[in-house]
This record gives sequence, C-alpha cells and structure tokens, in this order.
Amino acid sequence: MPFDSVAERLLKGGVAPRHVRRYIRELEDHFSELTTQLHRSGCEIKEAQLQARARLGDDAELASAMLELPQLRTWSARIPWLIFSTIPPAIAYIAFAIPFIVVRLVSPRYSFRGSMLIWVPTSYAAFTDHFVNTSNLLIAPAVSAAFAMIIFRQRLDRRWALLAAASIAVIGLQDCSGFSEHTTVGSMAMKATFWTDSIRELAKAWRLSTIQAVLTLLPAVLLQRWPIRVNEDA
Amino acid sequence: MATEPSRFPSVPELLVLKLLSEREMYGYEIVQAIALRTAQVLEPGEGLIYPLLRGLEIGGALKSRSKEINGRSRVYYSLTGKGKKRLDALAAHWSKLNGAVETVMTGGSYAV
Repeated sequence: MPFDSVAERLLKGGVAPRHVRRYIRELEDHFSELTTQLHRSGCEIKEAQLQARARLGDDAELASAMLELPQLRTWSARIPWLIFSTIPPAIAYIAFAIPFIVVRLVSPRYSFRGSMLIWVPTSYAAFTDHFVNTSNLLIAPAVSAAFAMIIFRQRLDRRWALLAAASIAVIGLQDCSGFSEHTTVGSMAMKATFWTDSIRELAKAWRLSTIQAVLTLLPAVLLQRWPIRVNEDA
Repeated sequence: MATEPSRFPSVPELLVLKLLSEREMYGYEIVQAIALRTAQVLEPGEGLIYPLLRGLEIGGALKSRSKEINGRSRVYYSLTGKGKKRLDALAAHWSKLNGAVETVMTGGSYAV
C-alpha cells in the first residue's frame, strides 16, 4: 500500500492505531480519487498514480503533520513506564477473579459461605480443581501476551513487554481450591504467591510458580525477535 | 485549539472553516474547493488537509461522521457551534490584518 511507511512512522511516534487507520483510510481515498481524476484528464494510469502520490506530500511531511498533534498519542506512548508497571498486574488481578465467577455460574445450586463451598459432590470438586489449575497456568501468560500484542501494534519499545510480563510474574497470582476427599465442603481463594506465602509454602508450590512465571515471560521474550513487515518501497 | 486567533491566522484553517460553514464536505472535496475558489493560487499539500481537519475536530471546531460510499467508508466534516465562533473571530481578525497590510502596501497609514 502506498502509505504503509507513513503508518509505520506514526505508530512509532506513539499515535494511537485507530487514529493511524483513519488517517491512512482518508489518504487512500484521496489518492484513489485524485488518480481517477488525473487518469480521466488524459494521464496514463501509472503516471496518474505517481502524480497523485506526489501531490499528497512525501512520507515525512504526512507523518510529521500528524505527529504535531499530541492529543493523538496513546497514554502508553506518553508514560509507558507507569502504564506497563501498573496496568498489567491490575488486569491480572481482575482476570484471576474469572474462575470464581465461572465456578459460581457453572453450579449455582451449590452455595458459598464466604469462600467455603458447601454440599459439593466429588465430580464438582474435581472439575473445580482442574479448572483452577488450568486457569493458573493460562491466565497470567494470556494477560502478558495481550500486552505484548498491544506493544507490537503500537510499535512501542519492545522492552516494555518485558516490564509488563515481569510486573505480572513477580506477584505470582494463583487461584486455590481445596476439597478434602469424599467431602462436601471445600474452599476457593486467590493469593499473591510471592507476596503472601511463607518460604515453606513457596517451596511447596515452586513448580507451579516457576512454570507460571516462565509462561508469563515467554510472550514478552518472543516479541523481542518478532519481525515487522513493512513495504517501504510502496 | 485556542478560541482567540493567533496574531497571524492560518489561511488553510480559515478557508476550511469557511467552506465547512456552507456545507458538510470530505477532505478531497475541500482541497478541490480551495483550489477552484482561489483559482489555484492556494494549493495546499493535499495530504496535509487531514491533520488540519483532525486538529480542528479535536479542538471542537469540527465534527465528523463516516458515510459508506461505493463500499468505502468516507469521513465527512461539518462545523460545530464552537467552529462557527472560531470562524467569525478568525474572519474578523483576517479582515483587519488584510486591511492593515493593504494600507501599508498602497502607501497609506492604518488607523486603529
């Protein structure tokens, strides 16, 4: 596309992707109308395209005019250190509440008393245990991957993805469920492993914590080498 | 966008506001109208019209809406109440400035 390089410059300058998309759409529309007009007035199509592109202005001009509007910049481009150290753990906290909601929705006839689940059949207890264990392995990496994608889309410095992932991993959020065998009573809780567990408890849970931390950091590490394909010649 | 016009008002801004006070238009139409009405004396870098429109929209002088034309989404701009005030202020300022410059160019003195 003739404006790929302009889009790339704007994204690297911190302009929000939605503003970039709209600008590029307007430029493409203008380019197409101008080309048609020049072609109708007797230009060869190739020549019409070249003239139309020249009349729109060069890439640097087109990009710098938009970059002069500070309101178009994203907050993550303005204060990335604050955004990527605070928002990812906050989102992770919210995301770790989802298993609680699911457990309640799946079986509304089992009642909660505080965090205690009462009159629970063993099948439900098994489901809850598996669900919580799977959630523990997936939620934090999913949140980290989402931030890696945002950073990629906004063409921000990719090292911010490492900060985002580390700020999630360092808390070590985990959902816990516990049902004793053949019983009808259990509990669910959420904890921040690295902040609340004693050394003894940490030693017991090191395997899950380590796997979770590695998986959380993985998207950010992969992003460091992810290629961007831009047609600079267009 | 400041309500008070700057010492030397931006000509493209003034023209854009004036054209949009007449009817809703999209970028290409605005550029064509400027070229036509100024007998091609003023031909701004065509792509640069969009950052100007965007700036005016952010400042509240313009509003925009998307219309589907031949399967493509096109952004149309129109003037807001704030934009109308801005146009009046800019036009008055421009008139005054123009008169002052004209007076100097013709060798007279401008009474304030």
